[in-house]
Amino acid sequence: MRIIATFFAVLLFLLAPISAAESNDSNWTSDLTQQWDIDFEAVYVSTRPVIIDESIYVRTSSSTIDNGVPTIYSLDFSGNQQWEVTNPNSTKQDMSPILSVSAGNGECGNWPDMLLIGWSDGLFQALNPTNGNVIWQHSTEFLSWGITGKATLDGDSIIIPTRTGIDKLCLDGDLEFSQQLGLGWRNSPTALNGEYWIGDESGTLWHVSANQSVNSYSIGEGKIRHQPLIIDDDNLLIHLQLPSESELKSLDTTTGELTTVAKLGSSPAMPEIMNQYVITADASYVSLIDCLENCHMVNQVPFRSNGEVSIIFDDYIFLPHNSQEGGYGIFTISDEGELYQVDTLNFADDWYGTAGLAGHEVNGQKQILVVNDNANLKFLSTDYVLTLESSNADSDWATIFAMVLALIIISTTGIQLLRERFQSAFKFFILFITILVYFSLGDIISAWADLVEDSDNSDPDDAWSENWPDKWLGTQVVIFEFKDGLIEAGGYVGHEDVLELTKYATSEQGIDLEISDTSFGKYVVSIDGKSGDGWEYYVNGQAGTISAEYQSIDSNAVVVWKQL
Amino acid sequence: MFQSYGVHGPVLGPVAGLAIDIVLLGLAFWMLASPDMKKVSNILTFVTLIFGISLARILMSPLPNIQPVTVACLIIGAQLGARRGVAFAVLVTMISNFILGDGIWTVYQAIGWSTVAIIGAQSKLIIDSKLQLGRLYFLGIASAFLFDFIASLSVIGTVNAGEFMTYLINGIPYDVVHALGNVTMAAWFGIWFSDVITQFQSMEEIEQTVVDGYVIGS
Repeated sequence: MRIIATFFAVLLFLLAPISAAESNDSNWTSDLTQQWDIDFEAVYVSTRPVIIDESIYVRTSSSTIDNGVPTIYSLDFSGNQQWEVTNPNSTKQDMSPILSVSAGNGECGNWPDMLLIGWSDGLFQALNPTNGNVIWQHSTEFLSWGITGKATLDGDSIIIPTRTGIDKLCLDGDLEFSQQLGLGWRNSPTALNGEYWIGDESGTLWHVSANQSVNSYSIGEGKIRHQPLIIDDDNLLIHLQLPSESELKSLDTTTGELTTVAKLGSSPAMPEIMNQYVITADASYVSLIDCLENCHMVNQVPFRSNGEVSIIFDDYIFLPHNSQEGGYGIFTISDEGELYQVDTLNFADDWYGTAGLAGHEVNGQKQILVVNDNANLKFLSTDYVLTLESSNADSDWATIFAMVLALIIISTTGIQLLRERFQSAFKFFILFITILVYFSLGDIISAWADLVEDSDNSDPDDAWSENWPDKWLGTQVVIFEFKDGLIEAGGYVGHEDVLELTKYATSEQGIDLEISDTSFGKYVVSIDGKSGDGWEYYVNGQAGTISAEYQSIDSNAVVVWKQL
Repeated sequence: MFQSYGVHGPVLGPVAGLAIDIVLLGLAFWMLASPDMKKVSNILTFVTLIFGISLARILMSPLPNIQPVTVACLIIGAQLGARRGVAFAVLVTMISNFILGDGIWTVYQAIGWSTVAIIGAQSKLIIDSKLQLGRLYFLGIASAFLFDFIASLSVIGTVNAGEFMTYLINGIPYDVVHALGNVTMAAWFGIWFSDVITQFQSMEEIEQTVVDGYVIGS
């Protein structure tokens, strides 16, 4: 009887989440459950995490190096770290949001998938989303601080809010122009019809035209700490921060006419557009502005928020409550066109926060990432069960077969141990270990080589040639030194090992590449049909000591193949 | 280095290769020219062992540094003695390298496995006609590192001391895999292989007894 009762209790327990999910589909926020959290310790996080494909990216910030080094982290959906990039020089509040750019090409060049990161020491980096390697980087002016605002994409260019103005770069990293304007903080440029608008700390809105001529508009005696919002082709909306209040103003860019839309509370958040509406917040209220025709206030809901406004899953507005009580307010707009609060999210470690949230929906399951000034990143989802590595693209039948085989072998080991057949158990165990090592050998060899090699002696600059085009700078370059000639190729990005890069370069150059398998890994037999006495590779001037398939390379590596 | 020297060292020209093959073959046959190795059946069995293990090495060559020859050399050295062990090691190396690739490394591999066979002969691996598995595991691990070190010496003269050390250090994961493969091989096939050779020995002893009886009887 007890067994039957237990069985039904377990069954009920297992079925409970399913029935809850079915019954509460319209009120999904109450179904959110925390899957994991990560404490980044003494640093804080001031900008929203980013989800791209199967990866999560989050940046930490620090005002003193004793608290921790500002870092960009890449995580998987199980919370495992994939890579990190640090910048110990950047200790002036890193709050420039992470931007993601897909690979593409334009009139000014071509570029791979990138993460664009602005640092408070003025450095702007394009990182490889897969491994964090630097694809290119650009230094901007540092006067007490450097970049604190969000960079803006404009076609094949990126507009960076520097400390003193804007820099326009092609997405391949080439500088198009640099324009000195006013001192900015957490400001961000707006691209409108090929022209740029950006506010500064003295309440001036700067206008940089396509021919780089500059004019300015005084919005008021305050600070502009957000990206001007485009209401239509002619009108921008600016939330001006004043000492004890703020003003929402509309600027007609054709006439220069400035209109006050609303007087609002102090310390405004960064407003966001949601269809015909603008959502803005301050120390007292969240406000809904309707801009279908002339912008006007619709209604306000009491709530204190001073940072990023997040609009996720189309209809939901998430705001961090910037107080000691912390938490998040969830709002939406009713059918009648009014703003109202749907729910709040609270956690045991709530604290001040200004960072927005990231939202992601997979097969109807809503997933969100929240983080506050305590630098505690939390992953929540509706009725979500972690399926570790379930979508791993590397999985193939051979791997599945090997895993099943390994499972059978280790199970047999256990059975033989229980039967006290120790010798037989050992046989199966050692076979299991051998299979395990066999399948991880590539990673083991790469990791071992990285560990024992003196990377300080390996500098791409040592191998760089002045004859190569500048556009190869910061990219991967391959040189084939034949006995009777030379082929140089560069501008490659995103290749993780010597062989992968070599295969790509030879394919692109129309060169034959013959590779053989050895028990030590892949061996390049001939390049362009020439084998000679063999081929030797060098990475940044250092001779390769392991198979090219195991030799990992940086994003700016110079690989030289020499025919012997 | 890996690329320029194949896996173990520079490729030889045809004359140098031929000279090395002759020297190695001469060594193998000298080792085989012992009084108890004159029967055709014994020679056939021995040749079968050589070709069997050579084939196993060739078939396992896609697996990273899994070397069935090492454990075979230990057991043959222990069962048949150092001379036949060395002959076995040299011939297996030569035959398998005809397929896998010949070069100066063939000499070093032959020396390496001959050393392993001699160690097997001197290590009391067989006590009361029984293979000592624990000892075989230990020797399998030690022989992996020893053999790989000897084989690595083939690059000397083409690299400086620092590069050679880097080469050795980078090779440690491969050494570990070799050692692991040896233990696996010993665990799964050690006793079986030892029994096969014991039978081969027993046949020899029976034949010798018959021959002795015939001589005494006449």
